[in-house]
Order: sequence, then C-alpha cells, then structure tokens
Amino acid sequence: MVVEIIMTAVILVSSCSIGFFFAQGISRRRKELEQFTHGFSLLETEMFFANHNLPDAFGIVAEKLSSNVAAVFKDCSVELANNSDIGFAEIFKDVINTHKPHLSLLTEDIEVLLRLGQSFGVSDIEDQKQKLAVFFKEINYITEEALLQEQKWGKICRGGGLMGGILLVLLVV
Amino acid sequence: MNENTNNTQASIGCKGIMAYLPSNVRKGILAMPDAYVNHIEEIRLRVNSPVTVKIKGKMFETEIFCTKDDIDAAVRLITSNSFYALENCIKQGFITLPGGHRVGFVGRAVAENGSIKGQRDIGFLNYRVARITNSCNEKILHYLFNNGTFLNTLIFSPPGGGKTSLLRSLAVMLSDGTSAFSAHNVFVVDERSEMAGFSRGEPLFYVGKHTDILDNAPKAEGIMLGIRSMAPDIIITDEIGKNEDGTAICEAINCGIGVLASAHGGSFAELQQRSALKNLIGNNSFQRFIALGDRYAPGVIKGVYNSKGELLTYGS
Repeated sequence: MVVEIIMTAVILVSSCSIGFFFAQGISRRRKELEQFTHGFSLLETEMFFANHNLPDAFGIVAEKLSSNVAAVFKDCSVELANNSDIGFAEIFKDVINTHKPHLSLLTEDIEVLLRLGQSFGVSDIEDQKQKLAVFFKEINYITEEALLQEQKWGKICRGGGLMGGILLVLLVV
Repeated sequence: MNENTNNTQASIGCKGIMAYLPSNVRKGILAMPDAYVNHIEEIRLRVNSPVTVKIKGKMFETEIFCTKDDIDAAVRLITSNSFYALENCIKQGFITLPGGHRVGFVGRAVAENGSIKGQRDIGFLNYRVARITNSCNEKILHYLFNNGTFLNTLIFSPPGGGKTSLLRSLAVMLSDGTSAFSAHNVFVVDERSEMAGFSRGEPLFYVGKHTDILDNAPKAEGIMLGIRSMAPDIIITDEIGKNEDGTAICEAINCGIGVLASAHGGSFAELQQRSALKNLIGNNSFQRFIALGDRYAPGVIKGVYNSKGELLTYGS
C-alpha cells in the first residue's frame, strides 16, 4: 500500500513537472520577446537622446536587462567594440546564432531580429527611427501571438501533464 | 609635462590612426618602412583607386588598392558602426578621432532647400594625422603680453600650417605659467575635438593644469557659456570663421577676457577680406597676429604682427 502511494505520488509529480516545463518554455518565448522589445526601446533612447554610439548603447542597455537577452546585448557591445570594421548585421547575426540554443525563440522571431540588424546603425537618425518603428510593430505582433499561444498551450500542457499522470496511475497502479 | 602628455604620445602620429583604417590598407601601410610611416601626414582613400599618402608635404601613390568594401569598412570604423550618432559631423564632412586626428570625407550629398543636410555613399576619405609641433617657446609670450596683460591674439595660416598645435602649446604655457608669466585660468572651446582630443570624457592632449575644456560645442555659444559659467582669464578657440564667432569674441573682449584664436588665412591682407574677421580686425579687437608657415613648413612662425599689421618680429 505504501509503495503504491509513493509510486502514485512520483508519477503525478513527474507528469505535472513535465507539463509545467513545457508550459514554461512557451511562456519563456513571450518573456524573451518582451525583453527584446524593452531592450530595443532602451537602446532607442541611448542612441537618439543620449547620442551614444552602438557599442556603448548596447553595453548600457545590457546592464538594465536580465537573463539571456542581456547576454545578447552584452555580446553585441563587446563584438562591436572589438570588430568595428565588420558590419553590425554580420556581428548581430553571429551573436544571435551563438545564443539561439539558449533562447526560446522561434525561427520567425529570430528572423524579425535579424531583419532589424541588417540596417541598424548604417543610416541617419530619421531612417533609424523608421526602421525601429517597423521592428517594434513586428515584434509586438509576434509577442501578442506568443501570448495567445501561451494562454492556449500553457493550459493544455499543465492540464495535460496532470491528466496524463492520473491516467498513468490508473493504468499502472 | 605630465602623465597626460605621455599617454597622448601613443595616439599621436600615424600609428594613432591605424585602428581606424580598413585592415587591407592598415596592413599595406604597416608594411612600409618605419621611416616613412612615422612621417605620414595624410592618408587618402578613394574608391577604386590606389591609396595615396602624404609624407613631408609630398604625395606618394602606394600599391594598396582601395575598394568600395574598404571604404565601407573605413566608414564603419570611424563611426563605430554608428552613422546616426555623427549626423552633424557627416553634414560638415569630417570626424575627429580620439587623439585629435581628423578624417574628412565626401560622397553623395543629401541636399534640402539648397543646403547640405547630410551625406550618403561615402567614397573618398582623407585621414589627417594630428601632430604636436614644438614650434613654440617662451620667447613668443613676450610679444603676447603688455605689462602682464594678455593681448588678444589671432594665429593664422593656410590649412595644415600648424595652428592647432601652436594653440595647444600656448594653452599649456598660459595655463601652467612660465618663469616670466603667471598661470591663468584658460577656457578652451574645442568645437572639433582637435585641440584637446577629448574622448570618453578625458582630454588626450595636455592643454594645461588650469584649463577647462568645452568639447564639441559651437564656438559662439561655447564662448558665451564660458563667460557665464567658468570666469576664465583667457578663452582659446580654433578656426573662427562665422560672423557669430566674431560677435561672441567681441563680447568676451568687452567682458575683459583675453582671447586667443586661430583662423585660415595666407596673409594679413587675406584675413581682412574675410567677412567674419573684417570687423574684428577693423575695430582692433586683436592686438597681435601670429603668421605661420604653410603646409610645407608646418609650425614655423613667419612673424608676429601688431593690430595695424606691422611686423614686430620675424619668426622661428
């Protein structure tokens, strides 16, 4: 009897954890997109109001962000300072590719980021503001989509984990 | 001189601008004998053309070929990948690098209402190497003071004559004082970051221990700001040329502040033709004029003149 209770508890805890793990993965994507939005908003201020160059601006913003997104900004700052004869697009692509395994972003999210990188820093303020405005529209759109996905699939994952656990308990125990 | 000056030496001379040259050009220049590299005054990059260098006033064509990619890399290097942050410089056609080196550039002008709003597709760059010319010794100060009062002075020469270097040397002597002259509070309005080579909040060139520096400010506004806020004894500024510069200088002089400035001009007569300087010279705002040599004899003082243009002494 004691063994059965312990097994039931282990199965339920494990299945619920798996459900929560998947739900968190979905939620992490939305959070990272929000962090990127926040980061580029701060970057916009550093670029156009504080008039910092890109390496400095990325460095300052990196300190105000958290987690993996901060690491992306930090690496951009370092790489730009060390390799300023290479274009930002190339540097940004390399940094994103390096951090991709640690991010929960989808291919379409990465594409939006890389599209911004292609034209970043290389034109005048007016043009840069326009490019950022387009980027913010795109990233807001995918963030809303990520939120819907989170609400839908997050519940399914968490509920599915619990239900799966119960089913397994009934079958096994 | 102090520690500051020593730190500066590393960035003076051609080696100070190497980090801002595209790798292809940098390698080519560094492959040249040190005897040439150390005397380079200018490096010109033109799209799809060989790189040319100026050594001791003479142009030499190198074997380094400059492509569009090299030009793009050069622009990225001098702007730190941040074209947007230097709009004013882009419009004016030059950027001052750390260490006071200046890079002039032109490409396709973006014009609006008949004036240049900016530039795109940069294709031609001219790296001008900053140098410290020790052309100035204490003797010259005897011509710039009368009973301990500084006489407002204008230094003039054609471009490349060593005006900025002389201003810097004088700034140090006026600020630190010498055996014969006491120290002064000096205020430098360094619109183009050339005199002090201001970079990340610190001057790369030593301009005196009693010197305050206003970097990157339009001269006229900078002079007025200095009068209001720093109570200087002497204001120093480089390359005056606009009418508002003249007005601000008059204001400073009327406030009892000494002014040391520089301007482009081949001769005293040429200076009088310039609209911004005509009034200043006409109303005897400047009591001393120092004429420097041209780009083939940079830093050589040709003569010191009084307010009437009469030669007081031959130069160095």
